Amino acid sequence: MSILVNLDNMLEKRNMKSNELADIIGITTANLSILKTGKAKAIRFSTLEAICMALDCQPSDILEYVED
Amino acid sequence: MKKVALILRWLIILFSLRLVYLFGRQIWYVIQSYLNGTVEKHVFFGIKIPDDFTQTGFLIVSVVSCAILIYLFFLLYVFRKVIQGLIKNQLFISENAEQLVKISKGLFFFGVVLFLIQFVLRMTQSFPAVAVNKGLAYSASYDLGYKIGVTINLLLSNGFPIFIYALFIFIIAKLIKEGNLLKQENDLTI
Repeated sequence: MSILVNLDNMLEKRNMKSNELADIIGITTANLSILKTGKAKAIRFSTLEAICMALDCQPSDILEYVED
Repeated sequence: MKKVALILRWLIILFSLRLVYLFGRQIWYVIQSYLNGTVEKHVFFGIKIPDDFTQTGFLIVSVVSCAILIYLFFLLYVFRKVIQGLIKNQLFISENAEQLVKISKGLFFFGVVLFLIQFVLRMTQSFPAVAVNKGLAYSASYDLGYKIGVTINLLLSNGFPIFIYALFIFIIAKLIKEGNLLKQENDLTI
């Protein structure tokens, strides 16, 4: 997949754990894990907005495009 | 959906019993033809046996019929798997699509075999025109025209509906495959 999710890096920078983020943005840890591992097919704007709000970052900090 | 699936399951059971009955009857016809020397006028699915058919020919047709019946039984078994998925509310899964493609291919094959059996049996029959006017019957043009006519008639009357069913099931299989992709996409949208 050419879109990478750098959620782990941001979590580390903000010193936050996955389950904490999941609680804040209101998704299950299983779904957050799918997102982190790159298995997700799509991400809703509302989820992205909640993640950005919780981690105080921009979408570009989380999502990255890399050529195959 | 669950109720429909349960009804379909019962229909499959009934159809399976029908196939077992047809299989048993065909075996009984073969045994009788060897014991009494009689040849039954019909084999499965209303295929007519010509009056002057030999015992060996009847045996060949019977063996082919039994093989097709076993194959149909296998197709029913495959369809039963799809129904079991339906009962569990699992319609848009890749297995269902694969099994329906298998069924549609099987039905297509069944239609072709049915058509070939009918075609060969009709071709071996003596044409009524031969008895009336031999000069006309033996003319190559009439013979060719008659055979083409019989072939088109057979294709339209016997094989055609089965090919339509096969195509219909094939389209449903493709829809389920597409549905499975959409479902996966939906499930993996966070």
